[in-house]
Amino acid sequence: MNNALEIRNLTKDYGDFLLDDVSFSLPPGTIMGLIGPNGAGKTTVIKLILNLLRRDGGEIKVFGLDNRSDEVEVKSRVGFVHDTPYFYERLRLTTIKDTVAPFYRDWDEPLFRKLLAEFDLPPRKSLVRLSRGMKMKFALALALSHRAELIILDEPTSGLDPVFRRELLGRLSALIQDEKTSVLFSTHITSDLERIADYITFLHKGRVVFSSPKDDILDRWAVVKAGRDLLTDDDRRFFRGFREREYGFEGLTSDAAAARRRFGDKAVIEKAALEDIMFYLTRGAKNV
Amino acid sequence: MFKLCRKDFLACRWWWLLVLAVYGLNWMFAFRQSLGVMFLTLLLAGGCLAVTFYQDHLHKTEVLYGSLPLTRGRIVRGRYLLTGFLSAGALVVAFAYGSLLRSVFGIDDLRLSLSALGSMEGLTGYALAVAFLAALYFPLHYRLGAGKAVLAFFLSLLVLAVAVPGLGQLGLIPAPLARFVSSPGFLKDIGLGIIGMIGRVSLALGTPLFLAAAVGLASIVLAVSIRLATRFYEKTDL
Repeated sequence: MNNALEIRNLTKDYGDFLLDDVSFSLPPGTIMGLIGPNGAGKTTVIKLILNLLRRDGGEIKVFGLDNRSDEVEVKSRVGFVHDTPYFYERLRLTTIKDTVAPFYRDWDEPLFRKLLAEFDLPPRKSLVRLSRGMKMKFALALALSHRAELIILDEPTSGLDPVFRRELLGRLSALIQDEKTSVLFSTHITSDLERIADYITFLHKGRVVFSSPKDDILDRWAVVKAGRDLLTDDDRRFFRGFREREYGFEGLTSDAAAARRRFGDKAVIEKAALEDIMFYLTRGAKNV
Repeated sequence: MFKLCRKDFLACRWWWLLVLAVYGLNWMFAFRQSLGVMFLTLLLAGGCLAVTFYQDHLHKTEVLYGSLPLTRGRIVRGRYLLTGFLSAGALVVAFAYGSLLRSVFGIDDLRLSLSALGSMEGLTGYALAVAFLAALYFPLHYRLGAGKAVLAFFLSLLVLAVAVPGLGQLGLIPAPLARFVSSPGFLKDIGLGIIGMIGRVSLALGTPLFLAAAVGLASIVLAVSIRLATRFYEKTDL
């Protein structure tokens, strides 16, 4: 069975920013979190998948189809939520829907109505009068109403209240239960991904740092905390990132087992959260 | 493509009405100053198209519609089709406004202007003008973006206006045609000038041949323009 999404050696050169040799794949029926600091290239990757940007090199396959030569077929099966809702804001929600729905062959009007009701969205209200969170909910309702097999969300939870965020995560988890629908989800809120993601792809400065199953990452990566007297130059090289304080240091390693062997009982070794990994890797081996 | 036009109608209908209202006011004064009915009708269609592009630009909707199951080519062709619809709508409005103003104010010039526009030469001239202007504008729009394209469009028209007499003097186009196009009468009322010019060509070729040539010419110009505009848009990052 084809991967829902397969990206190979993807390159996009803006002059002052290079998306360099990005490769990862998303199996069907799974959720992938795309994480990275601001300017890492997450939105660029998403826009390249949707063929909003022209790639300079590499390959993007969605359901085994090329995203450029099979653009219409691919996009018919993809639902998207952009980081900013690009709608005609003065129109009512139902009118906006009328400008979008006719382009989807599998548009499900009863489902759209149901989602509006579930999200407490007033159909006759204009978009400009809604909060950012409500706009995101509306974008999500549109994305889910044509029975897409791949849902791409660019920072969908920013601006949402915690209650709806949790509801959204629950809904995304439910979506993949058919083992056919997949979700690519870019976010800064890494705790969201720890709840629902099966795979994590970490981008930094336009390059993939890792793309692995979430459980592998959380098993392998660890934060080591110990007194400064334990820290040698060799240890500094061992860590992917660390910070020193007056009385001690904290370091991130991608090999928890090696850390246990190296420090034994002299250090506290904790599982790294995604946020820790993002923090330390973004800062590199600096004393942060 | 009809779906794209419907989308634009839903998104911009109230703005188009606003343009209509503003142009309605302009008409009353314009006719007294002998500005052409065809010119104003083209302006009405162009005004509606301009607010449509402005709405797209304001809300950055190109990203949204670029993400839908549509090719860039289809989006571009949708704009040409919309131009056709708006131009046809503007023509209907022109006759409606003209008739209304004529009956209310009794402006006699209107009878002449409207009957000239409604003639075979007038309608052909209008269609050719729309095709030519659209063919010139859209590649610029998809290459340079809306702001710079408008500037480049009017600059191109200016260059053409200056170039025609020069081309006539060089013998690259028939001198009588060049003289006629650059005459004060033509420039005073471009619409009537175009109609007059078409009348002469139609008389020389015969109506059936002239109509076939007009359709052929418009088709070729539009086909080249659509191809160029699509190529430019496909290379644009949204």
